[in-house]
Formats: sequence, C-alpha cells, structure tokens
Amino acid sequence: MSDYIHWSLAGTGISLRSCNVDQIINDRPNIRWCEALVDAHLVEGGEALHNLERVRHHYPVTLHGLGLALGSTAPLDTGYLVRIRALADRIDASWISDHICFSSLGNCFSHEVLPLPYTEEALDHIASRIMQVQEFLGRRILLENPARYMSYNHSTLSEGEFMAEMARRADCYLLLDVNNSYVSEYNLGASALDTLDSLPPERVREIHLAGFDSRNQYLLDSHNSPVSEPVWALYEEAQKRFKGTPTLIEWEQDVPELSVILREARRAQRIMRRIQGHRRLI
Amino acid sequence: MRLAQLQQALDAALEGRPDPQLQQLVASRRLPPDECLALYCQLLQVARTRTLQRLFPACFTLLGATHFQKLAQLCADRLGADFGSRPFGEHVPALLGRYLEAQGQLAAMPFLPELAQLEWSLHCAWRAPDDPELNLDILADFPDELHSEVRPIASAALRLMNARWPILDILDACRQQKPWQPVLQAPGGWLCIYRHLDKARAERIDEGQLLMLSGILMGHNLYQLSCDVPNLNEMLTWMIARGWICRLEFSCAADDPETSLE
Repeated sequence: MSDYIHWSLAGTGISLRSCNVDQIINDRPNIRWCEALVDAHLVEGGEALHNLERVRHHYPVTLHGLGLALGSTAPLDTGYLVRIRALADRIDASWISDHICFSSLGNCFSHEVLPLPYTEEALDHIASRIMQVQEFLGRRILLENPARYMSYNHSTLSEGEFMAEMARRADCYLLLDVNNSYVSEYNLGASALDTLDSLPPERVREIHLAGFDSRNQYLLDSHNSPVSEPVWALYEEAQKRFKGTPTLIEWEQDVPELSVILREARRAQRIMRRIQGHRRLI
Repeated sequence: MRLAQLQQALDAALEGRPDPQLQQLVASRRLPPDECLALYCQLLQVARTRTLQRLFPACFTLLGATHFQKLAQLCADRLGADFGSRPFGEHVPALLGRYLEAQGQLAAMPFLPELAQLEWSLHCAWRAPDDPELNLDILADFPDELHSEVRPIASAALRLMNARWPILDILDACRQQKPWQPVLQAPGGWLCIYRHLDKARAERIDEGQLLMLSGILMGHNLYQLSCDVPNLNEMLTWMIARGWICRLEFSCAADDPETSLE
C-alpha cells in the first residue's frame, strides 16, 4: 500500500523549485498540486528527493521532463525509463509529461527543446515511441507543445493537427502550454486559436502558463516573469474548450517570492471557476 | 529531408557546423534561418552555463561571467568527444586546469581546479543514495572472536580529497563574499566530503582519520584497521555518530547479504 493518498488532480498548481520548496513544505500554501522536474529528482537519496517526498505528503505531484527524447531517432534510453518509473512509483506521481521535440543531446543535463517537423514520418515515429514508453511505464503520459522559434518548410500538418493525431495514434494525453502556443504564434505566424480548436478536449489533461521575454524581433519562452495579458486571454479560450483542466504556473528563472507565484495561480483558478461553472467529471 | 537526417543536421548546427540543406528547410516569421539556428545554439549554451553555474558557484564567482562562459563552451565542445558518457559537469575540474594554462591572467588562482573538484564532490555527496539505517544491536549476534572480521562500510556520500591549496577556506570566503587572498597562506591537506542532515559538507581530517577512512574505503576489516589506527574503538564510535560509517558487514562473506549488519 502506498504511503501517500492518491488525490485526483484538479485546480491550479505550481512548479517546485529548490528556492521555494522549503516554504511550500512549511507554509503549505493553498494550491492543489505541484509539478517537479524529473531530471532534478532522478537520484536515490538526498535533499531534493526527500523534499519531494515531503511535498508529496501534502499535495499530488506530477513529473515533468525533457529527457525522454520522444522525437529523437536514437534508441530510447531504457535506463532513463527505469529511473523515471522508480521515481513515479516512489512518490505515487499523478502523471508524467514530456515534450514533443528531439531533445537529441541525451546525456546533457540541460536539453534544448528542438522542434520536430510536423510530417507523417515524424508522427509515425513519435507515436510509436510514446506507445513504447507508455508500455514500459504502465501508464499514459502527457506530451507538451514546445515553444518554437522556427518551423520546417516540409511540415504538412499544423501543430494542432499533429498533436491531435499523435494523441489518437499513441493513445496518450496532451499538455497544452498556452504560453508556448502564444510564443509560437508570434514567432511563426501559426494561429494559436487554430491549435486549440484542433485538440480533442478529452485528451487535454494539463495546461501550463508562464511568462515570456520580449526580444527585439521575437518572443522567448523564458519562464522568468508573470503570465502576460495576451496569454491570459488565450488561457480563457483554452479553458472554454477544455473546461476545468488542471493548470500549472511555471516560473523557473529569476524566481520571485512565493506569494507572487501564488497570485498567478489564484488568477488562473478564478478564470477556471468562472468558465467552468461546475466540476468537470472526466 | 528524412527525420534522422534532420536530427543529424540539427546536431551539427548546434555544434557550429551549419548544413546548407537545413538552412533551406528552416522558416520563421521573425528571423532568417541562420539566426533561428544561432538562437537555438545560444539557448543551449545558456542552459549549460546555468547548469554549471549551479554546480560550481564558487568557481563562477572567482572566474567571472566571461571566463565561466568560455569554460562552459569548452565543456560543450567536449561533450560529444571523450566526456560524452560521463555526468555533465564531472569533467569541469580537468578542463579548468587546461583552461588556466591557456589564460595567463588567471595565474593568481592556481587552486581553481581543486576548488572545482571540491564543488563537484559536494554535489555528488548531496545527491548520493541514502544510507540504510544502522542497527548496531545485531552486532551482539556475532561471537566476540569474530568481531575483528567485521568490516565497516562508508556512507555512499563520503569522499576523500587531498588538496594542495586551502580550498575549504577559499570556498568559505566565496560563500561569505569575502576576499580569498588572505586565506591563501593556510595549508592544504586531506578533506572528508560527506552529507549530514541532507546538506553536503566538507571538513579537514587528520592523519588518523585519513588512515581509518581510506582503510574503510579499501574494504579493510576491523583487524586490518587496528594495525594502522591505535584508537580504533574511539574512532569507530565517532565515525558512526557522524554518519561516515553507515553499516557493518562480516568480512568473510562480504557479498552475502545475510551477514550484512544493516
């Protein structure tokens, strides 16, 4: 029997960082769940793991990673999968998510989210690998749309079409990063609303919100600032389509006082409640 | 372009070897193709530099942002070569040594590779596997005449390091944002790196402690240790209390878990 209570995921959560984890453990702020970075916790002991376990005693925890390299053509790293499964079992993780990308530099600590071409070949490839991973982990995983700074001329599908078909073929869930959708729209011109319209609501199980950095010519998914107003507006549209979907506030760089992040979480919660009207039952 | 070929071209581009075919394929509303690829290169480099900065905060402080970025670039260049299969960051002390040789203006800080080694060891101790809970009561199950066959096992977090420079003092100075120059005259010596209450720590050890710990790390049993360590019982108690020794094992059957005194 698990040491933890297996709560269902609902409402808004925040990402765990080493700089705020003590305060979360001690103050137990009014949030519904927390998300931890997989790669920071693939250890057999020590402070990071112990803190995660402490957090898990009070909140449901999801695991979010960059290292599965589901778009990569290199073989799946089974050693990495074994460690993820062990961690997920150890903390009774609500779910595991990763990105739709190459992440080709398998041994590197910090992977960059390199976008895939949205082609039939890539679709076949990633769907097959997701199925292998799900088989290994014994659970469905969630796949997130990346923030993109470039696309490929030979793509034949839109991002929304690619994600929807990938979810159908692989029988996986989707993590919609609204900030990433907005950043990609600005940088590449692909409509974020079209992406939202293409996604099957029953597959969208988590939403991410974060801040971006406005550079001279483009937007950078920087996770170092509050959620911007256009992204809040897009989030409302997302909640209209995917009512009550649990939402996470991500803040990884220049992390402010916890109260600032909690304020963002409360805003997301208010929007969710206003649109939801009643509880989502699936 | 097929997926595998695209991945190869992207990898090459991130390593600074742009592929003309890839440039034809890449599109953006805001940036020309070469700038798109350069942006991903830059993001990757920033991510690596940030990671190394977290692992080696004192070295970052002493080197300064410019030199540290160059060092991070050097690490990135070596990722696919001889260091590819090692944990990211492990090779920094060695690379820092080579970097110093090529940078005359850093000659005043010859201790940096040792300091980097200390920071890496602290990181390893911080994330080392948890030790099992020590149960000394089981020792009573073994006949007295066999006690000399008992082998102490060191904590998974424990590491020894011999430093020529007073790197512990330098590290403390950096953490307290004090100048490191005044402590440079202090002696180096052996350090024990370990974890206590989830925090990685390092402290100087004397010759007796060194003999004991190095013997334990070599797998010596209590009889063998007693040949080098006159105050063995006292030392044993002290090291168990500090968590440096995490369990006792019967050395005749060290591989047999039945005889492990966890």
